[in-house]
Amino acid sequence: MKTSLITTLLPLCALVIVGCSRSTPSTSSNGAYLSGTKERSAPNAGALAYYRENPDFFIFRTAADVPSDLVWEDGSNLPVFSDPAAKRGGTYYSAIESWPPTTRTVGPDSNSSFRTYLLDDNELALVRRHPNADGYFPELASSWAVAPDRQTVYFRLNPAARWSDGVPVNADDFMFMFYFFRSEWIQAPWYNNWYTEEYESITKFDDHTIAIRLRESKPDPVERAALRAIPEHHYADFGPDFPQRYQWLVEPTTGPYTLLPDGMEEGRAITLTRISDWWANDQRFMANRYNPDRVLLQLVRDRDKAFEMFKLGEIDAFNLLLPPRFWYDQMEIPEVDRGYIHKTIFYTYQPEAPSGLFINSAKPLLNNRDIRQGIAFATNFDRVIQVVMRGDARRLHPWADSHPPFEHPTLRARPFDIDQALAAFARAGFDRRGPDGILVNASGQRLSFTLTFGSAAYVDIPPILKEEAAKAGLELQIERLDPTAAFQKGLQKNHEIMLSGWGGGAEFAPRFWEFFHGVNAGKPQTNNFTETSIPELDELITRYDRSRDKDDMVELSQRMIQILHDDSAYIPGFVQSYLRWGHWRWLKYPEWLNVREAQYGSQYGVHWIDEEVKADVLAARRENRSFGRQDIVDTRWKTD
Amino acid sequence: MHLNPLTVRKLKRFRQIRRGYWSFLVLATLGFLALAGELLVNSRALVVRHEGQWYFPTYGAVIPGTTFGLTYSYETDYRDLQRRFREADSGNFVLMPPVPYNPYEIDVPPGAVPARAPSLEAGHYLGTDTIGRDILARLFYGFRVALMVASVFLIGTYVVGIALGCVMGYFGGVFDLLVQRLIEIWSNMPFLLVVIIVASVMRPTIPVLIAIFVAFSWMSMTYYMRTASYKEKAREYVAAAQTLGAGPGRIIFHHILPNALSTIVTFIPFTVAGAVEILTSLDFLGFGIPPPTPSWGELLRQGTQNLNAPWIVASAFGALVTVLILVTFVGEAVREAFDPKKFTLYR
Repeated sequence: MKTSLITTLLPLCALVIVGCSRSTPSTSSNGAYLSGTKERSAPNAGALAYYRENPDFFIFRTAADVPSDLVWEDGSNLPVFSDPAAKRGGTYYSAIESWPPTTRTVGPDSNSSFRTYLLDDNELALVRRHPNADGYFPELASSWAVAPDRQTVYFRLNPAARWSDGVPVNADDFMFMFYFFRSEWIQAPWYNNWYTEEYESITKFDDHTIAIRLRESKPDPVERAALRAIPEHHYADFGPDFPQRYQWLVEPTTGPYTLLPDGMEEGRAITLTRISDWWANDQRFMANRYNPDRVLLQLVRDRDKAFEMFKLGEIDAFNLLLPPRFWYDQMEIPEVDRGYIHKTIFYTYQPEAPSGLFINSAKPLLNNRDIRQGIAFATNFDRVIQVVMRGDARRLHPWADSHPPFEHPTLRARPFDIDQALAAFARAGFDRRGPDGILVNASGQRLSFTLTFGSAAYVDIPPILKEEAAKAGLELQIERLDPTAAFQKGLQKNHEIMLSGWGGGAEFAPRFWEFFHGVNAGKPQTNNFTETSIPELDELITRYDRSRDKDDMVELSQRMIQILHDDSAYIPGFVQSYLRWGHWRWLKYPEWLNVREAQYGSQYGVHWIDEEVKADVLAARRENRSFGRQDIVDTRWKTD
Repeated sequence: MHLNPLTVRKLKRFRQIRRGYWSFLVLATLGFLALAGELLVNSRALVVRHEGQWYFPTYGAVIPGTTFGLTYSYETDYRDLQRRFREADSGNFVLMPPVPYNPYEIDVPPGAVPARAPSLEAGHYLGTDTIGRDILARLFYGFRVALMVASVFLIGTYVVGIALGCVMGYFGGVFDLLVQRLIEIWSNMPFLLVVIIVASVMRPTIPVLIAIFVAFSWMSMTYYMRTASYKEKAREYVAAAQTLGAGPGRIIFHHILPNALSTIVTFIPFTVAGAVEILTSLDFLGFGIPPPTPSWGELLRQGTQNLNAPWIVASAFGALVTVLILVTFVGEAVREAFDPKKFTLYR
């Protein structure tokens, strides 16, 4: 699976994720109705033919064939994370930075940030990772069971589940999902590959019982089997013209919000509407979530302008993580002092995505481990944290930071230490300084490398690293490229040192193969930016990927992290392990704010709008009345 | 130096246009100061006296801290050394330049937050930028870079433009026609897009940037020179030279060009202003000189994004406007002084 640069920050279409709904007035098929129940239409003929051609993948059995010795789970032992005090209603005002190129959630151009609203944060999957605890909570499935071989997962669908147009969700929508995602018509190679390579079969026992079998047994097979459904009845005309035909149609959704035909005000705003009798309203883990009746997304192309709108109250909440000036200098305003706007810091706990320096260990000099270790000691990320982040960040730990139990318990990134850097460089023959203070070796070669970066968010970092590295006799030449060009340079393995970050998300276990296995070294288009190829490590990675035993995986993971640390081709950067946002007083959150694994304040939909408070705040603003300043710092999930 | 009496009169006239003349003097002074910048704006000391020894660190190799009895082997922090010597009061001393910072060093003491406001005490007379670099130092060295780029750009465009323009005008005919069409096509290439593309796939070093600037800017000069040569080649002195057996190269560059020079001179100040503007706007957009080289455009961008630190945008904007106005005053004066209607032998 290809991971994107963190700068794009587009959620990856992985597993537990989701689809959506709306149709334009010109289309007769499948409008998004908000209530009532409809019957399913006839099965899709193309899909049926495909099932017949692939009898090993699409298996039909009877209810009697479900093994009787399964241990069924339903997540009822896990805590609820929404607040019973939440009030339904109101409109949540937010902003988007660009107009979506399509309302499809699959296919060309669908991977834009708008997809989050239709798919990632909206559509339900069979089950979902509990964001506060170990385990899964039910969404479309009411219960599930893992077969003893840890390769097959059985699901019982919730009979209440409905698409937003009233059609019930059943097993056929999951069979169709595989047909859909494996079809070349959707023009999405990642989907084609993933749904072909990762899954061995799907079995339909009856309308509400299915089993999904993975290609390989996994310690946590539920994670990969927790798929979403595709509404078969919406794709009656599924064919080679899929991208055009469905470009502006909205898929019926199983989630709370849908985009109605009149919800798009071209080039100005998009309104998402809550489905009034959403089927999951009273489900245990869905109740008291997704509270606003409408989500109004105004198109504001400039972030500074959106910030001004937020200060005026035209946007309810604003992410104040970066740049720091938003949080500090530009938030010292009367609205905050009088308590109309609350400033919130919420520490989260989730696996931190790797970011920092990726050294190409295939390049001359950089193939010397002493030099790489010297570079690590000569890299002063603490100074970056002080100057750029105003101290509001911490150093990343070696690989798999905050990913218990796979993380290394004690190992930490090498600190900035000039003496140790000089000692390491001296071991590699660079033991004297030239006239400009940069180290040279016996043959007069200077210790100088190119530091490449692409993201505009990083622009202040390289000059600091360069100044500090010079103290240790290391010269870094800064190369700033367009983000795509920088990423390409890394994929082509043409860089020397790359400053970049990878996207991430909560997964069962950290990944090593993509980044460090020898088969991904020495060839372009792989994520092995460090060109790491260590036979011992390769063997461990293979064992780790094949392992079915969690304890064994943990032990292997920690050994691999130690090897990577010694190899020093990846120099961990820094991370902000908290969210920081501002929100108007009328936007309410539970006392616990949000979940441990929240990636932004509005994720998981636990907030609500209090219309009475809103009226009061607006009146107070006219009268210059103060509620008293509120700065919220929540450290319940904070670590070290 | 022997000057044409006509030229002498033009220069005299230029001196009489006081606004332009003074602008020229100010600019020239700034230019000279910029050349000696290391003595004025620098983190290296001018003079260090340590244990009876004299050191002049400004030019030359890095002097490690160990030389002065400090613990580190990298370049001496002379401001810190000055402080130590003062405290010790043992006859050692450090003399720093008026602005004791270089444009790259990041001066953020513990507890301080960049950007820092202007302060006499800290020696940051115009404050620091968002990562703690001295703005005056960056303005000063940015000016030097801009001047250098403008000079090379000027020479580049004029060499190509003048040579080609003269040749077009002198030969005329099919050659002229073809080159004109070529220029028309070339002029339609979107300059900014080319720069953006180049800047995105490689590190645009200063020579590369200048080469791109020149490649897309020589065209306008050809038209003026073409017209001038057309006019001049019809004059008797050209016919005389031809009769004496002079070749085209000699006629163009020895006879025609000196007579067309006054046209060129009037363009020079505006070309310089144009070059500074292009460079600044490209840096502003992030496609110009690679970081961390000091540049005005980069400062302007920082300033507009950080209006809560108004000294950044004020400094960069003030400097840019001042220099462009000075150059424009010089340009106006030159144009007036070299006006052919005032001084010509062909009355």
